[in-house]
Amino acid sequence: MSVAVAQTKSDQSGVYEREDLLNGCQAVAHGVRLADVDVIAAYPIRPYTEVMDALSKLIADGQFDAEYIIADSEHSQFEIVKHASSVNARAFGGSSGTGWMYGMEALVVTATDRLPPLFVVGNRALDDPGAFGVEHNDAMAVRDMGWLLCWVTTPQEALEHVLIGYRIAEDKKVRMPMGLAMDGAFLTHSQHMVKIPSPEAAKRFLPQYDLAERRLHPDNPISVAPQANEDWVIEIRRLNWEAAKRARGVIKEAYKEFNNVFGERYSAPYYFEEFMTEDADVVLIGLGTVAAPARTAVRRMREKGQKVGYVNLRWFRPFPTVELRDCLSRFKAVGVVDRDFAHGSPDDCGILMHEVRSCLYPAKNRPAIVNFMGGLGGRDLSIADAQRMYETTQQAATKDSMDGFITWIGLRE
Amino acid sequence: MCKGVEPWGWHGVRPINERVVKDGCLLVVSNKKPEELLKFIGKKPYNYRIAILDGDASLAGLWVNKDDLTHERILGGIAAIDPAVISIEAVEAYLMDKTKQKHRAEAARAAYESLRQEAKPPRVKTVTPNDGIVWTHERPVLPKWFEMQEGTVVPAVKRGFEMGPKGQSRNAMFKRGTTKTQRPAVRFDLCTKCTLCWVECPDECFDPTTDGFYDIEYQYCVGCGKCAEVCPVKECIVMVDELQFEDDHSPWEHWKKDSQEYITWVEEKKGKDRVSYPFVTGKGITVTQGVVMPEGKIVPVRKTEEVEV
Repeated sequence: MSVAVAQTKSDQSGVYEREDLLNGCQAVAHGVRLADVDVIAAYPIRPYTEVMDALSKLIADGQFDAEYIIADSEHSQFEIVKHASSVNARAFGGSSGTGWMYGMEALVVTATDRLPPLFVVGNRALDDPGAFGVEHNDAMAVRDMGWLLCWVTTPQEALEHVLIGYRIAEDKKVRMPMGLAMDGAFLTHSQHMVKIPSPEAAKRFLPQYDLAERRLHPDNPISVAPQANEDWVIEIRRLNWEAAKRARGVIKEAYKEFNNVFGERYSAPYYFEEFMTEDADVVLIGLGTVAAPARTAVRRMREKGQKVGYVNLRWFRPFPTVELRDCLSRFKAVGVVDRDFAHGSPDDCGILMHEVRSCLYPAKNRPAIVNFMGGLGGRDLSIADAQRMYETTQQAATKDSMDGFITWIGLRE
Repeated sequence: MCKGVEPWGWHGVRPINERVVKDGCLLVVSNKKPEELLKFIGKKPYNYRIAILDGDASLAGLWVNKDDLTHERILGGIAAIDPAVISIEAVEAYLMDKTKQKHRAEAARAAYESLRQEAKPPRVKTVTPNDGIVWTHERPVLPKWFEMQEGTVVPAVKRGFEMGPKGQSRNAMFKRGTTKTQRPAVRFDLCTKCTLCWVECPDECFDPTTDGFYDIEYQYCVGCGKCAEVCPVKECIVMVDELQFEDDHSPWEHWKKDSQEYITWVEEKKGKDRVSYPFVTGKGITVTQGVVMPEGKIVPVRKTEEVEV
């Protein structure tokens, strides 16, 4: 857990203060420090736990000043975050797996009350007893409730998306809670070299949090979340729908501004990232660290002249409907990698598959589409697995049959 | 509730007979006559019936089940006013089956008998379009979705305060005063200006006046009786039957205008009996020497000769 000081080197550009070897959790903690978060509520559950460890260390070491509250459960933890956010404190929370689900009541209301705290979700399986490995169903649970939800693939992105996330969430046009999801173990606990922005640069990018007319304060007498019965709920949903739609534009603006401050870190359309897709016939699309074996597989298969690429979907909510439709309809076949499950759903696909397929339905050129259920419960998705998924998707491009429509990856069979 | 019902904030004060259809029936539990109740109930453009089941406020406590057989009696009452909904035999069978307690079925039967057409005195009256009052409470127009503030936020009542009647800013969208069964009657001449009514009132109904008294804004008073309970002066604040009043005028202004006339008026409203609804406030039982209700026997009103404070 110790920071490898020996590898620290200074950066001349001025927007970075130093470079360090950090895992995903530690990177998030630095993001929280640089976002100058006011209130942190914490309750341990791995893999998220190390985020709270890293934050408490930053505070104890005098590098960061924030209210750090240890709650008695995730439910209280998320309530603290929600309430802090309503009094204009930039607030941070996080959890994993069933802990995330245990605080669900507060998570739902944070969204309907349109408050913009940021939560990190260290993705974890929904606990068949003792399941600590990554699965995306935990974070996905808030996907339809008015949350912003994005997945990152490296500690660098994790740190940066704390800043980007707050900027989008707190924007006057949005004001929605932000879920920053990162794969348990593969990202939360794997170390990479991370460029740590300078506080000045972070401040230049991320404006002060200002809830303005909705700030709960004696000088601004309002009631937040009064009784909302059938006279109000449809209107509240409609109002929040508008914000969820506006968020798409705000996301683009945030990345553009991030690039202005930090150099060209992210490229359009920002919601997702394409890798070697320009002339590709076949692509895989996935969330989070699936990108690592997939990109390597792409490079290796490209060396053999195969036209494959990878689409790393970063933003799941709001879903980049038009951009992703335009992107994927260029290819002959798309393989959707689900690190989640949706038993009994249409065609029994995974959640991401449903979203991608639904997004493609109105497309003029619909690619063939296949689904992979892989890496569930934290099982490794290897480069060989990725190659196999590409090969299956290539076959799908040339046949109409639904055989092999869903393939389980890494299953003992 | 005959004065109107406010279900939630922004609903406005709604007439008790809002949902009563043509030739339908409004079943009321009351110890008043139809003519007395129609002084508060809004007119309808068609004929309907009003049926009065003799009894006192029971369900008005909302969260409190007094188990005074009002539920059972209402079932019996429905069987009498519209047997097509349920027959009295079915009500009795249901109550016996569910509770195995005969007195519950008997209470339903007694209520049924009291509302039948042949009953003496008749307790069901036809209400014509001429009966009732002109309903003056307007229904608030709810905002459209884009007119609402985001984040389930509503502005608080604008803060402000002036001495005298209606001096405090209050929520115009939620008053709740129409559903009370009793209201505090004040003898200003006995008041020691101790402030306790003003301090203790859970609904902030008391308005301080320039001469050190506390006026009452009855539109916001729910009749909980807390002021009467804490008032240290015997006979200064006394809870009295709400249906004696057809308006919510300021008692302090009344008193300032003609104090002798006011005292006579308020003493008349107070009458001799002191009415209390012990279980409604959850507290009044200590100040009431009421008759304990025996099982199966209906005692409409608890009256005591004197209220010990």
